Amino acid sequence: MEREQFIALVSEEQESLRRFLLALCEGDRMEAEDIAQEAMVKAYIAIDRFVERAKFATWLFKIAYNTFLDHQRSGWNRRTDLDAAKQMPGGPNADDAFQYQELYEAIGTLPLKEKSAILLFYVSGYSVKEIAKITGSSQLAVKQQLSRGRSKLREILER
Amino acid sequence: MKKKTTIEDLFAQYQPDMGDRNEYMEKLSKKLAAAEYAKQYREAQTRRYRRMMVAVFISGIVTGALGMVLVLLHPQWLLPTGISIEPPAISPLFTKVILLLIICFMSVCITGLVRKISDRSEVRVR
Repeated sequence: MEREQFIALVSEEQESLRRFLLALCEGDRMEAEDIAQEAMVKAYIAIDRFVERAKFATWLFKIAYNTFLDHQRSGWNRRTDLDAAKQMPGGPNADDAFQYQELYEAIGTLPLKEKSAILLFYVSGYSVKEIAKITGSSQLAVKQQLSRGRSKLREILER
Repeated sequence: MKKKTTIEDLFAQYQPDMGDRNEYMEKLSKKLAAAEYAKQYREAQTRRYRRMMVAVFISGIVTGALGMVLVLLHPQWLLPTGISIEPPAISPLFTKVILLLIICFMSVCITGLVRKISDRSEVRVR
């Protein structure tokens, strides 16, 4: 696949991917953007391994999800509140973070697997089957994660 | 009275500003160009290394084989002068020399083969 072709495909998906990552990082725009860029470069380097019949978006999301997990493992996001505050962008992005504070706080209470399943389902609009492919879980596990995540979110929203 | 927020409401309202699309794609394009350059450089290096290993392996076999042929054709070259050997009788010294050469030849071949295999597995890991 040529670079132009790849860019055209990514161009269609990048906003949805970045939105998902932003929610996954609970509003930490810097981390989300960093993961998004890294994932897209990784996807570009591994483009030969992309099977044409597979859905490009699902494949890209899978790479991004794994990149997010790598970041988590490397402790990239283990910052203190003060560090996070220092890196908080100003301007419209800061307003954004404030605007969606309720959502970020609510999803922040969920375990990683439930959070990912919920966000892929509600933010990115993926089906259970696609979520299973992205997260590498079984469809049954995804259904359970969604169910548990929904009840936890309902509890939080009813408070 | 405050209206209850449902999960669907919570996510339906989620439309954060992701900035200018063209600007983002332009930045990404530059990053991809840099990544491609790095990828090509690494691939070229791997190809060079692989070619070198193949050359070492082949030259090991060729020189080993040539050495053996020469020794078999002219055993007297390796023996001290003044010693005559009858064609059917093989001297112990000659046997030792041949054995030594075979060992050298085998070690060169095995070294080449092992390096080639390790090179291949390294490429696969990458």
